[in-house]
Amino acid sequence: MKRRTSAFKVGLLAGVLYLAASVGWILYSDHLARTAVGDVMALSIVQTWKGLAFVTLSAMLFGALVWWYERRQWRDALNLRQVLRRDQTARRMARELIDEAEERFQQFLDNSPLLAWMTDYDQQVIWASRGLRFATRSRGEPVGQALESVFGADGARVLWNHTPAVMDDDRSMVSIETLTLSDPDEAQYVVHRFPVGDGIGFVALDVSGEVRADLYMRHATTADLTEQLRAELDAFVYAISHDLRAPLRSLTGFTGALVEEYHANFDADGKRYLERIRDAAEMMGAQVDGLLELSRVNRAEMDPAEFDVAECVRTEVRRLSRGGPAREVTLDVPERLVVIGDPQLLRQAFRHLVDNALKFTAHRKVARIGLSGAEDGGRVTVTLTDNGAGFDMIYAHKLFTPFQRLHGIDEFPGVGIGLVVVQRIIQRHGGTVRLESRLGEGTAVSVTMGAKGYG
Amino acid sequence: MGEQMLLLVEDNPSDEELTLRALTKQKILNDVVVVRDGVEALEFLFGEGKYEDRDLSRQPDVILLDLKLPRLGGLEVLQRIRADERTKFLPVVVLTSSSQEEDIISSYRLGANSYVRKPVKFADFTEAVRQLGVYWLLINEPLQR
Repeated sequence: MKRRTSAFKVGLLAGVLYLAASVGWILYSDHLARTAVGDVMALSIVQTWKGLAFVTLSAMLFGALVWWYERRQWRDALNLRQVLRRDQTARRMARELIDEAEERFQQFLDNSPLLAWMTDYDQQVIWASRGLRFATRSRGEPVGQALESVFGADGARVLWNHTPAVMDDDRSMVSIETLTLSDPDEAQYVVHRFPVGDGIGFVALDVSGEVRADLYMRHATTADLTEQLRAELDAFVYAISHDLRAPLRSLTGFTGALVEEYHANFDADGKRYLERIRDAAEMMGAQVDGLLELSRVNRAEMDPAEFDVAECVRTEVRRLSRGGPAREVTLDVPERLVVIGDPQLLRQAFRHLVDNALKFTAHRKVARIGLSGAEDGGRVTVTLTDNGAGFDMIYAHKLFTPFQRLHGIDEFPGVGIGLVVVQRIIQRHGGTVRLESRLGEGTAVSVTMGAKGYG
Repeated sequence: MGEQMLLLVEDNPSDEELTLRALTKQKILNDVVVVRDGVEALEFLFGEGKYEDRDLSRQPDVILLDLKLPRLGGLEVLQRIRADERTKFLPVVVLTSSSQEEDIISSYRLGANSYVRKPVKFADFTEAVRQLGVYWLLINEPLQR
């Protein structure tokens, strides 16, 4: 502003001076010429030359002014170009530094597990890290899309949930959210939201692994606790069962004594009642023994070794048929069938299975007991079959509950603990027990466990 | 036959009576001494307390020993019996409700001659006691001193 004023003043001054000089020249030069030249003809010639001289002088002055001005302009222009050149070099260097820093940052971001992006206030993504672009590639380029298109409706909702607070209070907000970046893999992310310029910055870190680890730890703790509770329960069952045996012995013992010695003092009903009491007490004793066996199985130390199921079944059949009535038993058992497990517990399990097979074939003229093994992917299945009474498969699940029986006690004796013990033993070996049966045709019990030593 | 003696260490009166009944039924029993706890058992064996006047030259041919006893437990009684010169060769049969492996191991380690678990079933119980009586009083040959 100031500059322009002074230029105007200088221009004005030059104009006024020129005007004054011109007016002075016109007035005095004509007067002087008239005085010097008397002849009119000569005077007009002088006047012409004078006019020419004036114009020439003015033109020279004007030309000098223009030249001077132009020269300054050029000089300034040259100066400016130099300055510009210097400026550009500095800029280029700065640019290089910035590029370098940016590239480093970019590499950092690309190699880190962090996903970063920015949205404007209308949930429109305006920038996205390569990590996010890659993670959401199935949904197209994120920049230009709404949060909802990139993260799905649920994802956008949880992401935007705390964002108003971020905008209002100019602070960051963090939470753990479940996001699905590419269907169907959902994962847990720690999400930070923070204000950036005229938008919201987001940084998300996949913590699923850590969350899983945490869950696993909690689960492990729960498993420990469950194991501990089970141990306590076993100890309790053991103590209770043990203490129940003494009064039960009194009950069976004295009713037994009554039946034996005071037989004559009772009529038929009285004798029957006594026998009922004795039978019930003895049944209860057997059940208590069953519980004791079960709790022992739960607590027994396991010492894995090779165990020949075939040899065990042959021995047990021989042993168990010895006490009972003479009957024909056909055995179809391979030479050897080796599994890996605790020999004592496995013998106990197969003794129960053989005992069942013999018991439920009691009404057959010829009892057929078969044993076979099959291996599938490192797991071995041992199947024991019989041609016994069998049962209706709709009750199969009940047989793994203590004291559940599917036959009348006078038809087939037993307390209903054998299969529970078998299942528990096999479970402790990481295996399963499956029952297949047809009423009146027979039963197949399949034990599947992981065992490498089959053969 | 008249000289056989059996020491029954049993605190449960029902078990005591049932045991005695099973023994008497077989008519193999002449002299049964019953003590109710571990302390009394040791007093009897070593002639102390109320058994001060007992003839110590006559010791039982077999001791039926329960493990769960008031005052002094069965395992400690067994230990004391084995530790004393006068009683260390006496046959001791542990007759108990327990089937805990630790009890069985401890009993044998301390020198029990036998370990029998009392059956709940009346017939089994009677049979077990009868066989014990027959074996230890009639068949077994004790060390004479």
